[in-house]
Formats: sequence, structure tokens, C-alpha cells
Amino acid sequence: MRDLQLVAASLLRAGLWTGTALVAVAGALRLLTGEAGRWAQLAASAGIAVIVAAPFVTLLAMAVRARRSVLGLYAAATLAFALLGILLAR
Amino acid sequence: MEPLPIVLIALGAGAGILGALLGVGGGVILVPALVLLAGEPFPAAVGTSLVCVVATSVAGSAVHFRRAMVDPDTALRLQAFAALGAVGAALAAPFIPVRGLFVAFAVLTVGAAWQLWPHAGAPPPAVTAPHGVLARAVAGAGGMIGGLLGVGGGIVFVPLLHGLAGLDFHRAAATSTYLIGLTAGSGAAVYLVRGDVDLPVVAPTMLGVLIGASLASAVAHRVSAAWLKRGFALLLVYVAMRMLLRAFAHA
Repeated sequence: MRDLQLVAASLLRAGLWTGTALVAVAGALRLLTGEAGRWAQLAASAGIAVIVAAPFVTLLAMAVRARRSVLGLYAAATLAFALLGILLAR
Repeated sequence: MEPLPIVLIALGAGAGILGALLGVGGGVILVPALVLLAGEPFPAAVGTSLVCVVATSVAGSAVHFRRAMVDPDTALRLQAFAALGAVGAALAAPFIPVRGLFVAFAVLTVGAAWQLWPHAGAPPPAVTAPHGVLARAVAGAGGMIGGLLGVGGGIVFVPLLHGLAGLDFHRAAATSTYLIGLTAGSGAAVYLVRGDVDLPVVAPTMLGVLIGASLASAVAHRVSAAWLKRGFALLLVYVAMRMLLRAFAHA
């Protein structure tokens, strides 16, 4: 269980730092160019996507690491609902 | 006209500070701030708030996981129901009249104020069936509130994990922080794909929230929580009245 929690903490921290760095780069690009150009928008979108995805990646990693099929099923259902939402919203 | 990034960073920082000091999700502060102060439309405020709530949850739960405060087993078992509620509500949101959303948010805000007000001598909640049908239904309801109104759902998750799933209060709050990220993430994905998240608004607001939450966690132990909670509860009642006025002005 402790191993599971340390993996989750590392993944969440990596997602947070990567996402925040990308959003900060987007802000810097916008300040330098004076407008929200293509690269700034791309960096901001990527940063937000990384942060939003971080809890899901963690969930998946915990379910795989726990090696208990019932927890795997719950994690798969959570991911399936999130993906269904994306598909239906398109 | 789009608000200046510095204004959004300040709004986000304010929400991050209050959220971290009071243990409430940033959403209950951010949505009214974005609607009433920054002039954002309600759906865009909800989408922006959900992304910011994910960011604060990720930052907070990384710390809670490291301190072994999160119960992964309970989180995994309840999360699917919360995600289902959040996605269903986020998909249904465009079909609900904006006035109804304003009124629902005002009711939620008064509920949050009631929960924040220090209740002397309140009895601890009874522990019933952990992971039971009721716990799953409540998790789904928490997800629906999050997906519809742009809040994390902590107002529902903490009593659920403490009262129904039987976790002690600190573990319940930590596990709720992680659940909030997944729930808000499920709802945020729908708003992002639908184009209800304004990138130039969300990026500075999110940075502000992260800065504010970091600052607040450094000074949290020096602040008198009881008076802060009373003051913030009164502010939430005022926000609820402003949201109700906006709801009826919307007609």
C-alpha cells in the first residue's frame, strides 16, 4: 500500500510540474510576442491537458500496481465514463 | 472584453488562498468570482473552475499521498460513481436554464457556508456501511454537483468518506482531495472538448490558484481558523444573494 501511495505522489507531482511549466511557457510566449499566438496556445493546451490527465494516469497506475481485479474494474469504469463524456461532447 | 491576466492571477490567488486555508475547493469561490467580477458567462466560469480545481487537487493530493493520508482502496471503489455523476451532469448542463444553475449554485453556496460555520458540540457522524449502495449514490451526487456547478464536490465527499465510509476526518479530507481531482477532471474534459473553457482565462487563473494555495499552506498554521471560517461563511451568504439577484436579472 505504501508503495502504491509513493508511486501516486510521484506521478501527480510530475504531472503538476510539467503542466505548470508548459502553462508558464505559454504565458512567457504571450508576453514576449504581445499576442496569444499558435505556439502559446499549443503550450497552454498541452499544459492543461497534462494536469487534467494526471489524476487519471495515477488512478490507472494504482489499479495496475494493486494487482486486484476488482480495483482494476473500478478504475477501468472511471476511465470509460470520462472517455464516454469526451466522445459524447464532441 | 477579456479580463487582464494580472486580474485573473489575482482572482485565482485569492481563491487558492481561501481554499487552502479553509479546506474548501476553489470552485465555490472561483465560479462567482469569474461570473460577478470578471464577467465570464456561467458555462465558461464552470469549465475554467473545474480545470483549476483539478490543479489544486493534483498539488494537494501529491502531498497527501506522500504522507500516506489517502486511502486508495476507498478512492478507487467510489470514484467510478463520482465520475459517472460528473460526466452526466456536464453533458446535461447546456440543456438546463442558466437561471436554474444560478439558483442551484446559490443553494450550494449557502450549504457550504453552513458547513464552514463552526458548530460547537456537534455530534460526530455515525459510521454505517462502508462502500455500500448509499455511499456510491452519494459519490454520484457529489460528482453531479461538481460537473454542473464547477466545484470539486468536497462539500459532499468529506462527509461521505467520514460518515459513511468510516475514514477518520484527516484521511477523509485527504482522500476527498484526490477524488475531487478525478471528478473535476471528468467534468473538465467535457467542458474542454465542448469549447466551454477559455484558454486565455484558464491559464492565468490556474497559475494564480497554484501560487495562492502554496502561499496559504505556508501560513495556514498561524491563522485563526474559527474566525476565518465565520467571516468566509458570511461572505458565501453574500455571494449566494448576488447569484440569486443575477439569476432573476437574467430573465
